[in-house]
Amino acid sequence: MEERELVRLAQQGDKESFGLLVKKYEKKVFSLAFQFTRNAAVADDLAQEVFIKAYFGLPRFKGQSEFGTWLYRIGVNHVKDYLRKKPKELSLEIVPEDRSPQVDTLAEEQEARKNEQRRAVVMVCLQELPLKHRVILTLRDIEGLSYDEIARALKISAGTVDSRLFRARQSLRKRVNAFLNKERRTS
Amino acid sequence: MTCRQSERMMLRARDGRLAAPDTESLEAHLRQCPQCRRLGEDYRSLFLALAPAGAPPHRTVAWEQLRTRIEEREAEALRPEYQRWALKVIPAAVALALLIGSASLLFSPRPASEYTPSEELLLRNTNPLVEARTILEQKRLEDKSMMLIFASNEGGLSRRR
Repeated sequence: MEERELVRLAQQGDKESFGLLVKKYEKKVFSLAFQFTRNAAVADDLAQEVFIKAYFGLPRFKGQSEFGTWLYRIGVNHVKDYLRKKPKELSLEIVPEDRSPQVDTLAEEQEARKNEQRRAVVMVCLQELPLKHRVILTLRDIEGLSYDEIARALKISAGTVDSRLFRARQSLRKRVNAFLNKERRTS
Repeated sequence: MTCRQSERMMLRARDGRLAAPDTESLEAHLRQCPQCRRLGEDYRSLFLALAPAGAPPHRTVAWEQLRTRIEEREAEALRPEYQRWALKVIPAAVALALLIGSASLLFSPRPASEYTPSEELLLRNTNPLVEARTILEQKRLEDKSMMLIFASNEGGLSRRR
């Protein structure tokens, strides 16, 4: 069945059709929530709440954009609300991922550890950025959305995406460098 | 080209949004500017750190649980208005009644004594006739009359009900 038809049936209260839409977009919505929170359990809850909001918002969906884009916008707004309420809690939840490749030599092991530390620093600095910078960086550099997709999700122009992204990246780079320089001086 | 322009172009180039002539002038600038090359390195390691390590953990939304939550909210929305109000008003009314009850207990006047002054004096093992004797022993008639009047007034106020 076509997505448009599923949406139409879901708008009439057919939960099975909505269930099929959930199935189709669950990965995308969960991934969005996870990239912002880095916590699978929290991302699970957020994803569920996004779908509940979407279900009750269906009567307002006029089909002017793709259902996926509309859903993604609900997701971004919901995650932003969550982050506004719980920024401190999240900053404590950063757990470095185990992403070190198979290393053979001591030098490679040291390099991998250094990269891992840098990644942890970058993630901490990312969480300290203003919310709008954090959102745009996550959407572009972590989620990998195109400028147009970001523009649609945030309801801003592509030009605003360009300038905001530039300022966000610049700000993150400066923060990371300041953090690392401070650390070097103290050690 | 200034270093600030170069920084902006580096980031545009990374996103594949830099026109060919600009790419050439950026490369030319980078060849002669070690500061911008260092900046480019900073950005490269920043993007490396930001890039996801792989796909996020695969999770599926528990549809049955989601469906239950949706149905609960639908039922909540369909519940008659007065029932929703009742759920809020009943606890508030109970709390108010408790508050008023405890306040009335706390501030209610104490019960008036059930004994006359003479009985109270007897209960305290004190002679009630001392006062009467004092009145009777007055030499001047006016004083005696006045004291009798005052004593009778006091007795009248606390007469047994």
